[in-house]
Amino acid sequence: MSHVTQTPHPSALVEVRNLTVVAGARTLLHDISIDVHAGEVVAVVGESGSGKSTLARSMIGLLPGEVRTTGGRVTIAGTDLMSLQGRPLRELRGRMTGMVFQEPMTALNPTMPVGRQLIEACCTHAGVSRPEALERATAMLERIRIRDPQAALKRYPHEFSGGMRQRLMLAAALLHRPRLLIADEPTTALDVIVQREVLDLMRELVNEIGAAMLLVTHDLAVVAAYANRVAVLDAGHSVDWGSVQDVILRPREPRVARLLSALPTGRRQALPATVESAAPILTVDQVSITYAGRRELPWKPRTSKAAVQNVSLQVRAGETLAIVGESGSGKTSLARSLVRLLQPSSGTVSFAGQDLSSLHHRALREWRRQLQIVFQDPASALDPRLTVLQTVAEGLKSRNGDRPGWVRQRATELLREVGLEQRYLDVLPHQLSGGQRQRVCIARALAPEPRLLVADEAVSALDLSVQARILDLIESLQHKHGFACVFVTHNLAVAERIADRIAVLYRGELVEYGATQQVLDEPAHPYTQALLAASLELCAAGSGRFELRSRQPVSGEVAS
Amino acid sequence: MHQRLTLGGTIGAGLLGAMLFMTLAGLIALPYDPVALDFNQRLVAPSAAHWFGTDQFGRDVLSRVVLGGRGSLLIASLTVLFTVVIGLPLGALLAYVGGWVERAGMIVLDALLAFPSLLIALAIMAVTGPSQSGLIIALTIAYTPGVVRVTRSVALSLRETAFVQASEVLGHTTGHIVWRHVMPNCVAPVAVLATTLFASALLSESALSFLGLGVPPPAPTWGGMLADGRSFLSEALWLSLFPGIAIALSLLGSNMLGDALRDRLDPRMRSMGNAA
Repeated sequence: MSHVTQTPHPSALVEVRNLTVVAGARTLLHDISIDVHAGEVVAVVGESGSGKSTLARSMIGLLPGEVRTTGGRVTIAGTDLMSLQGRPLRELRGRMTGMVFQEPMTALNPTMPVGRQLIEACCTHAGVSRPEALERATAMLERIRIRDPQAALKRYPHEFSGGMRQRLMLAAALLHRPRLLIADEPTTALDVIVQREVLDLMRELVNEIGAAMLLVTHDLAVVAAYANRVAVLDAGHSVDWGSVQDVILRPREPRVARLLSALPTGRRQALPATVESAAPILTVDQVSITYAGRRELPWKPRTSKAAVQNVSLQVRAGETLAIVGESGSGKTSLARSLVRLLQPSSGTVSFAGQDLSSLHHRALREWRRQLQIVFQDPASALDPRLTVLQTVAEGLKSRNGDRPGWVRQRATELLREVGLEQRYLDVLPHQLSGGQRQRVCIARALAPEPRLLVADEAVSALDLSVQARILDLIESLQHKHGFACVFVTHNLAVAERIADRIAVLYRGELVEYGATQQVLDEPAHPYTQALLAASLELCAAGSGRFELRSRQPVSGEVAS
Repeated sequence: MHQRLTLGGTIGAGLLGAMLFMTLAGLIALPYDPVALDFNQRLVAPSAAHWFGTDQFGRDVLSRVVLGGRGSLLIASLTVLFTVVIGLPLGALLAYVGGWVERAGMIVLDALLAFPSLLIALAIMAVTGPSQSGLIIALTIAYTPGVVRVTRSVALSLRETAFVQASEVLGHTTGHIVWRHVMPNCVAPVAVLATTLFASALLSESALSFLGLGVPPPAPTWGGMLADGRSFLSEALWLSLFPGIAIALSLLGSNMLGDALRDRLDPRMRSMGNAA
């Protein structure tokens, strides 16, 4: 099935030469040159705003209207992309490339069965008949391990899980056998185990049809595991470009090395004896959380969904507990019940011996100030209308007899503690970067001098280098103030880096709970083992070199 | 943080300002007595003596437009003011409190919304009788459910935001959260709604005046003048034309100002000059 004529340049499928792209006064890409050969996986890696998605889009002429190319050229299979417009460009793009995006739900049309979407794309781009397209689609669904392909083709996107949807996207992108697959953060929204499966599948399929793959990602471990060559971008500039060996595993560029050093590595020091023997400050006893669903019919009982089932935990004063789990494991529900944003359906959460669910109104408001929470997305955790000062002041309680200006002075101190200067006091949240916003959130949470801080995926939305600094910050604040910390995360490396103990949640149940060392080195539950086996990590291997580490061989089968 | 309005906003504010200036100037001096009858000067076309002409009773139209503006604009702005002052806190509170209080409140409001607002106003006017204050009360009751609905829908999504939850965890009371976080963040959509309500109030006032339920004659309002001029459209167009233009310009002004306000009230659109 290769009626695509051979190009005069068989060496490079896509060639980008000295590409400069601007949007208004801003330069998005500055003099970038890379090339992609048939059969290889090229990764483009960088932090948010580095221009990696812009580069991927410019390679197929998909730049938004206000973005212009001011220099350089892009050729696909010998055709200069700049010379094409309108219909010929769309045809070339459709025939030659397939795309997979981060969020599969938005890329699939929710009102159409997936089969029709697959077949239509294939008919349009590859010019095959409908029966043949149907045959190909069935074969492809079988290939991506979707049970009962015939029935699956008739179903709608929302009937599939996130991982399945991303596989369907992959199927849709590859059905017409493009020469280039562009995957823009294809697995960022997926859980660790599913991520590995999708990436493995992606590489296999691309190999089978002999296509090339451009993988856009922020995850250096994924690059090291799946890419042949890699381009590292920083603020639109190319930092380094070459084989994964040269660029990442043995970094020759200081900026790449710096990026790598931001990876969460190492393990928390063993607890001091004082903490080890400290009394538990937070006790979670047999907590279950169920969400009431809708009644299907008025006389039928409500269907309910158990998010957390019979979980018992303890957090001692001053220690850090990591709650690890995939999306839907109930870890966020559990975290929210700790600060009583959720009321457990059964069981108790008691803090310093006080059952939180028995408190109401005034007493509750007093008690809960000792338990603070930092959310995942700092942008939505700050009121867009309040300045930093007003936000931090939310956490301060002025007492009678306070000097005027006390709030401002205390807020300045808190900002200094989280590493922000005084000049940020009167700034609105949208004027801050993501990392700065999260610092403000931390300052607000510290204002009432809590004894327990719950961090709900507090670093997941941040870039790697920012993430490392925020982790350091939380740790040093903890040393200084001695509060206990519950750190909810899906990232094992982060958990290892910060936690004294780890609790693993799987489908609402606590499957593993113990000291960090014990859980990570001798996992008892098959899910923990699978999770460890699926996680990809880059570790320093001495003398400035890095190596890819996989934690353990798979020894159990777990449905995800 | 002062920043100029957009061009549209400036024009809108200018138009409304001009209308306001006109009615205020009318407080000091009017070319003629707007209610004095002069049967020698009936239906005089616009001229140097009567810029906007005279009506069937020989009253000066310019004077009546100026005086009518006072009534119409006052009714419309007070209606909008009361609607927002009542509707915004009510909507925010209902959404935030939730439970059966919210359900009961929404049933009442939905029932009110189910009737055309003009019909409700009509019914209330039938009780209060035609008067300026009766008109304001009627229109306020007719328009408040819409404001509550809009506020509530915005507040419902705000209730789930992390910053509201953070405030809850910090031990703040419901009152504080509604006042500090929920209401301010509802202001932008409500402000836009308010400008369209201003326009509707102007129009409803004229409709009710037309039905004889507005401000009783001989005191002029724009709507009333428009209604009176209807029977003379073929011979004396100016009777309806000038109050019509006054209404149109006020509506245009309020809508343009509304659009500009929406942008202005969004904190993300404010000056980025001191971004770090």
